[in-house]
Amino acid sequence: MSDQQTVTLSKKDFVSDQDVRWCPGCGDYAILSQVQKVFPQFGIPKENFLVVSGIGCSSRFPYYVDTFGFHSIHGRAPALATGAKIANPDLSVWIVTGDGDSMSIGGNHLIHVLRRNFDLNILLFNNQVYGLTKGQYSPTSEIGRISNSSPLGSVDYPFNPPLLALGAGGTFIARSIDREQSHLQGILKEAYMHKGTSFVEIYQNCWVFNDGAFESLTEREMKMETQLILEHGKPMVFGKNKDKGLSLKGSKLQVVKLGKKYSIDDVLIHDEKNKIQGLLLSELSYDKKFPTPLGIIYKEEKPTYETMLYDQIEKSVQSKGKGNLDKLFHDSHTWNV
Amino acid sequence: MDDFLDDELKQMEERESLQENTIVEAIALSDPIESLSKGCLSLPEDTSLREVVNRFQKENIGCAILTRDGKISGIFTERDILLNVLGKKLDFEKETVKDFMTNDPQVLLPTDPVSFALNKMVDGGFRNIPIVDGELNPVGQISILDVVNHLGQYFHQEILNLPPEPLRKQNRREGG
Amino acid sequence: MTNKSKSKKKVDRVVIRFTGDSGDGMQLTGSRFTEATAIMGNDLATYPDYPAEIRAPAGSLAGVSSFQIQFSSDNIGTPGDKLDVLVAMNPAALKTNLSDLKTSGIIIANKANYTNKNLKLSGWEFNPLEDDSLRDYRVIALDMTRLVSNAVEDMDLSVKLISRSSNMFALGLVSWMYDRTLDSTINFIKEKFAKRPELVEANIRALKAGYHYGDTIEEFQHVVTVSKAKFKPGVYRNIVGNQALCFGLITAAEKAGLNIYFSGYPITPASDILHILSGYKNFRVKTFQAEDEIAAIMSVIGAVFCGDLGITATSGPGMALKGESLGLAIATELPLVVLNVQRAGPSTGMPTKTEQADLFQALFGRNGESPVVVLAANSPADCFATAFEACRIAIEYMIPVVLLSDAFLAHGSEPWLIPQTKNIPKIRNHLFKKSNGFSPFRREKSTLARQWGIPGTKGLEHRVGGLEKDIETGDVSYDPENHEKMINLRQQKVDIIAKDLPPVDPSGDKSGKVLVVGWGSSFGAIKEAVNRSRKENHTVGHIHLRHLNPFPPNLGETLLKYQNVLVPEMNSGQLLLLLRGKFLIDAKGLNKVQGKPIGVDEVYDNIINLAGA
Repeated sequence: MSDQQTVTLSKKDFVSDQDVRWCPGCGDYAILSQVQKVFPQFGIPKENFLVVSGIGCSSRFPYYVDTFGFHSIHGRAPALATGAKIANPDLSVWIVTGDGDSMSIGGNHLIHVLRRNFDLNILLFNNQVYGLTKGQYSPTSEIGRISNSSPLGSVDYPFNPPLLALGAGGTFIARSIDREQSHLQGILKEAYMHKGTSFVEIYQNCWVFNDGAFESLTEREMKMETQLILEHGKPMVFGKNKDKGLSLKGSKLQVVKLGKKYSIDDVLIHDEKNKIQGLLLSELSYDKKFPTPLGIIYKEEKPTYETMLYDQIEKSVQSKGKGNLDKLFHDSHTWNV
Repeated sequence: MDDFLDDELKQMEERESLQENTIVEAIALSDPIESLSKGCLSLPEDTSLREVVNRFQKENIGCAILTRDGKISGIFTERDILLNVLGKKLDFEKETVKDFMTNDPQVLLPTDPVSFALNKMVDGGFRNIPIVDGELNPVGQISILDVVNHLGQYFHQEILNLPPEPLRKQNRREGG
Repeated sequence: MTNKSKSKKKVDRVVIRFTGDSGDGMQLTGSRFTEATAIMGNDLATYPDYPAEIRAPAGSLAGVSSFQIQFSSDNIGTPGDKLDVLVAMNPAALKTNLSDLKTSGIIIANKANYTNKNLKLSGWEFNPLEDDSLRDYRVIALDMTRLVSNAVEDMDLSVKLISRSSNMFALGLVSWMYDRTLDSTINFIKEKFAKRPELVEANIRALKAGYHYGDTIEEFQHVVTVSKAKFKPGVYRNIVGNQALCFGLITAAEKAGLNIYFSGYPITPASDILHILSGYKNFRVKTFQAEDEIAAIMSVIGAVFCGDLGITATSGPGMALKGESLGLAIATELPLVVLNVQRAGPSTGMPTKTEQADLFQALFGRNGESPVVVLAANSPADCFATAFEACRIAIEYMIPVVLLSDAFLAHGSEPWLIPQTKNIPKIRNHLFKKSNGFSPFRREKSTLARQWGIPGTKGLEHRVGGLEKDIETGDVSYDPENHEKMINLRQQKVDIIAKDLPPVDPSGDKSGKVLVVGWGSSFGAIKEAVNRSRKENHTVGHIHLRHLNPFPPNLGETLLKYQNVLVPEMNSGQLLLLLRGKFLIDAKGLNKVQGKPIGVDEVYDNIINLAGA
């Protein structure tokens, strides 16, 4: 294990020698760039990074970052990352996955890694389609999606990623967009700093198979009205003139226009620690009547799995003494011949 | 192997302590019968047979407590119908239940424990026992089924959670 | 406490099975008898059969628990085929076990439990203790509960406690019959039940009462003795297969200078391994109960990538699930060990019954050409050495290894010569500690092992994955010729191990009429059958393969030295097909797929058949 001294690295240290082979125009390029800019800012040695992926376009990510990386099998990245984190808890582990990889075949491993709260980071590149295998609808595609495997429109209700993560016990749930460079960088940093499983949903545009899925969120004219940037402790306002906000009516959210009837005092203050509010915000994912929350939806601190495990190990060594094989073998009824 | 030994010891200990106390608890103790009993059908003793049978059918009940001036005077059950009424040429409109009921039945107070009820059922052979207050006003009745249900509640594991056709056909191990 | 009043009769070997309801304490009884026997110096083998999964109703057939022990003055390898003594504490036990008793064998029954209710429950129409259904056997029917009651009369104990102690009465009686001492059992009782002095006293009195009973009744004319067996000098203990596996694993980790990462998912009959290793935290063993079988092996791969010795354990159905992941381990050339404690299949099969039908699965159960190393343990004590060997190969050759055990080995036990750990050789690992000269897929010529550069080591950043890779650089490559080279390389990685394996050396005759080739838990039965046939002057040899892939170097030529090759297996002919296909010999199979071990007689009969032909 290397010394934990602060080292000065830059983006180019994290660029690997592999030709990056996503479709030109793919949102993944932007995300890669932000990650490569942000990693050097953590001040940890390069050899302490581990990037793990499953299968999918997103999962080619490890090849393009010059750190230790593992391109594993479909859906299983969280399980592999878990073993790595237990073996070496000092590593900064990043799971890069997609909506099919993490919520279809990998659904089971996703919810368990969230539940167990390892100190690692999950980057979900959500493009709401299966890119690598040519365009089938995915568990996050909206109902009615027309695709190769659903020519008449899908009849599947989609998963709501932040809601699923909250339900699984996630302790850090955030959302950003591939194109919002500084916002994404900020979220990646927050994810790194959070001691626990950080779940970051990144809306990513696959222009080949699902172009424009997030157009309303990224188009310059529209995005003011559709993006709700969450800031802890600040009222949840949006709109070009910051003239709209989210308010609570009974137990439901509603959009209010500030003016005569509603003032800024009627707008809800964003509280990252409030799980109920987090649930309400997560529910907005597929609701066109509301803006889309971006930023940290929910955050809580609690002990991580590996901390508690190593605690047990240390206590065991202290109370039982370091393991001795000969002593162990003879710890039974023995007889001499 | 140690797993087997520990599991076996646990089972042996369970068997040993298998609720010897519970049966004593269930029937001797303070569970007053008023907590077991249901309401009763109370009628004046000069009610016609026809009316009594109608009430039995309408309310899906098999036992009536008869009163004279509000105080208990008799008990009449479906068994009395079977044994004393059926097959005889009787005018159901005219005959009153007074002539067919059991007079001055054994009664219990609401605060009496379950064991008293059991005693009367076992010793006296009664299936239904009226419950009265201090002034012989009927306040309820307790039947054999009420007592059996009560015992069943105490022996959840042994009675309620039995496999179908309990203890037969179990000749295979399960593993997973 | 020794017996002086009756005469002694010596025999070579005895097979006893203690049976009763699972609440009757047969495991306790059997394990105490085993310890007393071990102390007296006999060779022994045991097999406990306990309904460990879920509770069965008291007195039912499914609730029967049994413990079998064979002890001898010779070297033995199996717990015995037919029984000399059957202790049947209740009618259900008698019903399920009677067929294994020899004619004129002894039945010891606790009359008190042969009630109408129990008889009906277990399907006896009449009480077999009272009619002539057991006329072919010697029946000793006692009311043990009453006899124990008498012994503890002054103690005012509950009926339940008295009946609980009747197993000790039976133990006392059988101990007297076979001249075992009671001291170790008495000490055990005092220690185990120290918190309940009345239980200690009741058990000890019951034990002694049983012992004296043997002495006083006329039924027994003499006491049976079995002389000490010849053992290599050393310190011995009794060991159970699954426990021995765990000992082998932690020893290998220490010798290799690595920490163990174990992950598993509960599955019969491998769950014990997870339990045992979870108790070794002071050895810095990390265990992870995964959410499913796939997560278990995937997390192991992650841990191995980071430098731990990675192990997972499962049974047949779990192996099926792990296929794709095992392929990933093969493609990334990482050292991990997969333990398969085989049980009867296919699908859910018979989870508590033994079989050895997962050999093909271990060799071929993945997409593409994906060879792994396959080893098999042959006895409970051998699980230690085979587990160590599996780890050694995995680490020294940077290759995944599958170790096959089975339900019979998992819970069976036998004496184990405790090794001196300082004499166990170190294992060489390929951890790359320098900060230059690293190339993740540069392979050492003698082992084809690649360099193990783990995260956290400066300068060694690299990526691995399941896509085909260039043979030199390790970069993703779809080049046709490279692919073929890699396919061949992965096969060579397995084959090269054979270079350093000891050549096969058949026991018995080195050439002759019949060669019996076996693997796995049939070892003891084959050994005894071969010995018996050789005593009758047949030329018979025995090879028991620990290494199934690769085979030991000279296996092919050794097979040719015999006129017949017999392959006994608890499957439909898997090793048989391999030997026939690889070596072009007309080997014959002895195939038994009944969820039970192969018997000595069965092997013997087949040998004689071939020898005579």
